[in-house]
Formats: sequence, structure tokens, C-alpha cells
Amino acid sequence: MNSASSGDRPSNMIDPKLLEILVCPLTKGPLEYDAEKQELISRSAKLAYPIRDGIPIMLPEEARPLE
Amino acid sequence: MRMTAFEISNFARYQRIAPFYDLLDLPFEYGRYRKIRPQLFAGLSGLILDAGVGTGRNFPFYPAGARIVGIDLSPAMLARAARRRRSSAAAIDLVEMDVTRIALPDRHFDAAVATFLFCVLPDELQAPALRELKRVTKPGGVIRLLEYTRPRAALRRAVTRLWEPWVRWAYGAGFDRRTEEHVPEAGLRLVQSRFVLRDLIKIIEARSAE
Repeated sequence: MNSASSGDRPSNMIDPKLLEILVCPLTKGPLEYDAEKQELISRSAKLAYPIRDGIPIMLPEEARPLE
Repeated sequence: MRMTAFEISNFARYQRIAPFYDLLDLPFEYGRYRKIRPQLFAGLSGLILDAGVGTGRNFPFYPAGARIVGIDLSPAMLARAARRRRSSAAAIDLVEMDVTRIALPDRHFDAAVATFLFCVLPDELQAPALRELKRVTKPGGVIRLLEYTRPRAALRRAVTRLWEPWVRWAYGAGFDRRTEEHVPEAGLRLVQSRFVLRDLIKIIEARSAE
């Protein structure tokens, strides 16, 4: 029952192909991947969407507002 | 941006039942769904969106070689789905998002499917959700929904009503949605709507103009 050992890839890794296709749910604009913070940044919405356990959380209410 | 009351109540509900969801659903899964789910994917290939992927119950039925993006509002459901990825012959990506605000590009998918999603969406979100499925699907692409409906037969209705309040609590699902009526409202063409299990479960298929 260990998620890291039973998946196809480690749970903290995200498929680069998925990152290429994701857009901001509000503006449908492009996203920048911050590998260190594990965030997807929407400059157009001024929001940073978190990635938790390898799953991007594309909900504006869960996103961190950018200064 | 804040979650609507519906999102919060549904979110909390699915978070609450996620650990037990497969158990709750077990009698239904073996009795009914396993024969029906393959029909949902018949003839589909390529890039497919699974909206309301839940714990990944569709995984074994994905077409071999397909590439799937599974979306859901509940992280607890997605965490269970992530552990089940290897049960599929398809490549699966999982993302938490709201079907009425899909974080994927226009005209991306060859097809979109939703399993028992529209029976939990309130009426006012049915057309917005369908519009988003239309937006992310290629022109002419198939949008196929597997949905519960309220049974027509009076006798079965009486029986169903006995367990419906419990089902409503557990799943937030009502079976009286009129999803087909929202199809033209979203700019889609209704291709077919047919019962696949008595008068309880139907497949609704829609397409955007080519």
C-alpha cells in the first residue's frame, strides 16, 4: 500500500508531457514550471498552482497569489 | 476565487467517503458496471479526457495505447487513482481540476468521457461543464457520458426511493438530471441517448460540429 513503490514513476515526479499541455484554468494562458517550489505559474492570472504528490492542483482557490 | 457551496459540500463528501468508496460501490461494480464500462470506450482511441476519474474505476477499460488525462475535484479520490495506474493498458496522467474550469487547451482531445459525473452536477453547472468538454475536444470529437437516471417504472421508482436518500448522502448524486436538454445549450449535437442497464443507466453521446 505504498504509493511511491506501486506507481509507474515516483510519486513526486511529474510527466513533462503533462506540463506541456496544462494551461491556466482561468485565463487558459500558458504556465511556467517551477521545479524547486513544485508550482505551475500563471503570469496572466498572477497565480501559482501547487503540485502535490505529483498531482497538479489546478484550482484557483488552492493557488498562491503572486505579488 | 472561492468554492461554491456545491463544490464545498461535494468536496467534503468525497473526501469523507474516499477510503470506503470502493467498498460502498462493490455490489454495484460487480453486478452492473463491469459489463457497461467497456461500452463507454468502444471505438475510442488517441487522447482521451476522463472527467470525474474518481478512484480510477475506468482504468481497466481504457483502450490499449490511448493516452488519458483523468481529472477530479477530490485529491483523496485522485490519490487512490494514482495507486491504481498500473491496472491500465493506457498511459494515464492525473490532475486535480474542476470540470467547469478545465486547465487544458482547446481542441486537444480526440474524445472526452464522464462516468456518473453529470448525475452529481447541479442543473446550473451542466451546460458550463458540457461547454468545457466541448472546448477541449477536437471538432467532431465524441463526448460520451455514462449516467444514472431516475427509473421510469413506478414499481422500481418506489424501490429506488427507499435507498435514494442514502445514496444522496453518500454520493451527492440525484438521478433526476436532464443532461440531454443541456447538450444543445452547450452548442453540442446529441448523437444518441440509450439505456444500457434497464431504465437506470444510460449512455449519452454528443459531438461538436466538424
